[in-house]
Amino acid sequence: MAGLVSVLLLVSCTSREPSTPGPPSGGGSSRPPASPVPSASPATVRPTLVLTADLRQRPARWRRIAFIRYGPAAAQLGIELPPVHTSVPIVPRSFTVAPDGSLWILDTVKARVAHFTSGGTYLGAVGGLMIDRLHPRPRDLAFWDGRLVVLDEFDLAASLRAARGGRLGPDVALEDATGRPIGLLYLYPSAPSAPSGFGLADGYTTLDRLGSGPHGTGRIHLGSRATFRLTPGLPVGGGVWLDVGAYRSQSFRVVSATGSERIVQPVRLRMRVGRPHPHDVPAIFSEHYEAAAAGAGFFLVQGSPARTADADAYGGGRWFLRYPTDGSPLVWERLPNPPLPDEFQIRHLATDRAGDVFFMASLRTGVAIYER
Amino acid sequence: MTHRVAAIGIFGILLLGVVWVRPGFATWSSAHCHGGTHLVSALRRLDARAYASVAVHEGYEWGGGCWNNDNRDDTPDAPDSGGEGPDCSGFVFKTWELRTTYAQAGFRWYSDLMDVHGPYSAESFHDATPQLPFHDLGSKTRYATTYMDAFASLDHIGMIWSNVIPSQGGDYIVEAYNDAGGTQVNVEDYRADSAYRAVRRKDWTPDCAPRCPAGGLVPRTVVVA
Repeated sequence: MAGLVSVLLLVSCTSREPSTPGPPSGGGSSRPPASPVPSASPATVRPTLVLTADLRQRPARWRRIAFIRYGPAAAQLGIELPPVHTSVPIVPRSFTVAPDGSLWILDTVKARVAHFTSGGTYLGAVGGLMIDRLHPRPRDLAFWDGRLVVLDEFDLAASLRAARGGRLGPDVALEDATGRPIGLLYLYPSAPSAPSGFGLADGYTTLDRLGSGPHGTGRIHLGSRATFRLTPGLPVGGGVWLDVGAYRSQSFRVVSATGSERIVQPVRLRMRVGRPHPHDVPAIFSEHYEAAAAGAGFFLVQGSPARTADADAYGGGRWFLRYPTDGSPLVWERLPNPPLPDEFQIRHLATDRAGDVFFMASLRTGVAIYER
Repeated sequence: MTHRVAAIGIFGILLLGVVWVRPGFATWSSAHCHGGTHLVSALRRLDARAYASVAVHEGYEWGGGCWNNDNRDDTPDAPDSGGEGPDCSGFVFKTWELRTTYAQAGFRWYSDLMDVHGPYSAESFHDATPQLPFHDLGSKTRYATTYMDAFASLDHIGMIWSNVIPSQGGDYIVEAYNDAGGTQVNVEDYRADSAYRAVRRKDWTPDCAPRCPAGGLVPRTVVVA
């Protein structure tokens, strides 16, 4: 694994490592405590960090810890292949790692959250999901203070359901401070013993108001109502919050904040191909902020050449980015392309309590969970 | 004997009654889809989006192309049986007002209640050839695309709903997705997925028509947030 890790880190104008806006996390072996939200403060803008997505690069090897086959048995996961009932393969949509290290997989086809040991042995399931056009449909899941919470969506609008006694409770619509429904792209775990978790908001959901409303990471309070309030990012430990924004085709921006300072890290992405000689091609990237723990943020970056001819010649790829705030190494390495289209899967990365990161891949015969 | 004749008669009446009341070949689409169609001379993107918006919240049916506007599933739990909704390529076909004859140029409006799919599959859009009424844009940058263009793979196609960029990047895509979700607007990553190409219908009329300013022959796009 380590030998195949390719960290193509080019910092223009400087060779500084990312500095630490807060105290070091001590190697990232513990979960962050609940962090006070820093107030707005002047920002320090760093020199641009350039990451090269090299399509000649082989995927890094992660350690496979579990493989769960597709099939009709309870211990197996569901899959629906196109074209009759769907235009894209319906595969397990998301997963999370419980505080005890066990795996919970959002098994859409079987309308359940399936529970497995960290090695892939089936333990049971939580039912009650609705997979039809009349009800909110599950999108993501996370543990909040030991409680499984499922993010549902209906016409882009988010709602949350908490597990109670082996079943999921009723949907609670998510609102912002003004009481308007909002969309949520990801759900993140809570800090230890904190009843409220985090999510990535996508603004108001009515089609004529897309683009307005709260965008970005925030804290969610789930009670009889579910309310969302923007935060400066996700807490990664050491009092540091990490946020992402300013998405462009080949760039984005990471912002780390503490109570006293904000550090803005512009990131530029470039795509390199090999024939007839190594050169860069115009490309399109999207960055998915899927987890934050142990002093770092974890991203799945998907990229494709912008030009059809380049895409046909070279294909595209996916990369794993670990962006540290504590002085630990930045990691940028290629992930394998899915053997079947997996657009339906919205989460590929999750972390456990210790900050270890896991990758879920939908393969042709089952789902594999890898640990880095 | 009299009883036997009476029994046969009653059985026959019941049998015919059942057949007449509920023919075995009846489907939702055969019972409801009787909309019309007519040739038109032009299509604006904003009109195409308004047309697509009617299908949002309706169903999905592989090979289908008929839906109403009640924002509900009229054929729940009955997939692949002549139910409500388009499939992905049929949805684009009707929204782009393509002709039913393969490769024919021009525009034809179809009622949402007309059950028509058209001659194009997702693969047809992905592998667009020059004689077809749509073409590969050759680039997937945001400068190259605009709303109501499409992203097509060999298996699926969806249209860009808005030029607004979602929180995490990607695009708002209107698409006929699957039986469970139906036709809807989703946040999708097709732009950054090398399996997808950007496809544009040919011969759009500018959104400013018919009151475009002087020099209005230059195509102009009105961006709707």
